[in-house]
Amino acid sequence: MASSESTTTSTTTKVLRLKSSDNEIFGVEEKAALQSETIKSLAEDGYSEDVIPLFNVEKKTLAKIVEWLNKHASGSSKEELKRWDADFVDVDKDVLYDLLLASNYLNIEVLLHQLAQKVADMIKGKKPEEIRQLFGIKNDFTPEEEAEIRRENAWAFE
Amino acid sequence: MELESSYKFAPYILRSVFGDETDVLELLVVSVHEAFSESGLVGFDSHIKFVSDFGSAEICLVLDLLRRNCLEEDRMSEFYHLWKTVKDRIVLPFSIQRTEKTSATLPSCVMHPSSDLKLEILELLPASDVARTACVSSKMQSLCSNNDLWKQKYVDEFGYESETQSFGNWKSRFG
Repeated sequence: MASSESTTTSTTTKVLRLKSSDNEIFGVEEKAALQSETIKSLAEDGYSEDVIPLFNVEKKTLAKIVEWLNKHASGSSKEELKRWDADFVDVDKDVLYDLLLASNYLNIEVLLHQLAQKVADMIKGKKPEEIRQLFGIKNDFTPEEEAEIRRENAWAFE
Repeated sequence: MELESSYKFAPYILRSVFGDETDVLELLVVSVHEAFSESGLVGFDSHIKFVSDFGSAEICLVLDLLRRNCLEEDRMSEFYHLWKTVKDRIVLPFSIQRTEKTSATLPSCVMHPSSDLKLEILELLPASDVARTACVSSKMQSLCSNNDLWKQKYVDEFGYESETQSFGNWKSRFG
């Protein structure tokens, strides 16, 4: 059934309750919360009256996400939002990683794109060794394989 | 009505033929394939009950399998849409409900950044950075060898896509 258009009269704002993996409950206005496709699906499946459990989002991450959701539903100007977003993603890589996983899980496309851009900016101009170190990726090439792939991509190291 | 019953019964028919020997994964591959091909991109709501007979982790495996098939047939965007629908409408709500009931762990496709997420990051990088990222690990290498990705890099860097060059290995045009 198609959702009815929102009424302009002052209906009470519905608040959805989101529960972090460590059992902290956050109240978020429906308008803000529904920017997450996952929450939207859960709400449509009848979860909206109960607490919506988010099993792989810790409270420190969920707090940041809720902050983002609220800000992006607050009707701030484009310029202000741009500045705010730049500050929001300016975090250390562990927080960034948690946010990336959480926004991926919650399926918040705009935030996901912002975070992906931030990660891309961190990779830009770095050598493979530096990228490994940055993200804790193990080098699983044999010396021969590594030499081979370096040769294939030699043009990128000039 | 007829469509609905045919995919609903597929797992049961398979089960009666193969008994308990049947690998759940195989059962799912057939059933999900069938559901996909018959229902198109809509009507996933009615599948939830059917899907919940199986483990959600297996569904992720099936989706990955399907993705590889689509990769070979060059139908990525079509698959991506389908995959997103299945993930968001079935796998995720189902996993969350199941996790709550049984304290099972979430499937890895939900817990870890998906290949699509990593690919999205790679799409934002210049070609030379993608090439260097390929040298990081074997996983990154395979991710960075996506031909569509290199096609996009080629268009980004050289600004056009002539018709005669619309197929083949795009990465080889660099360097």
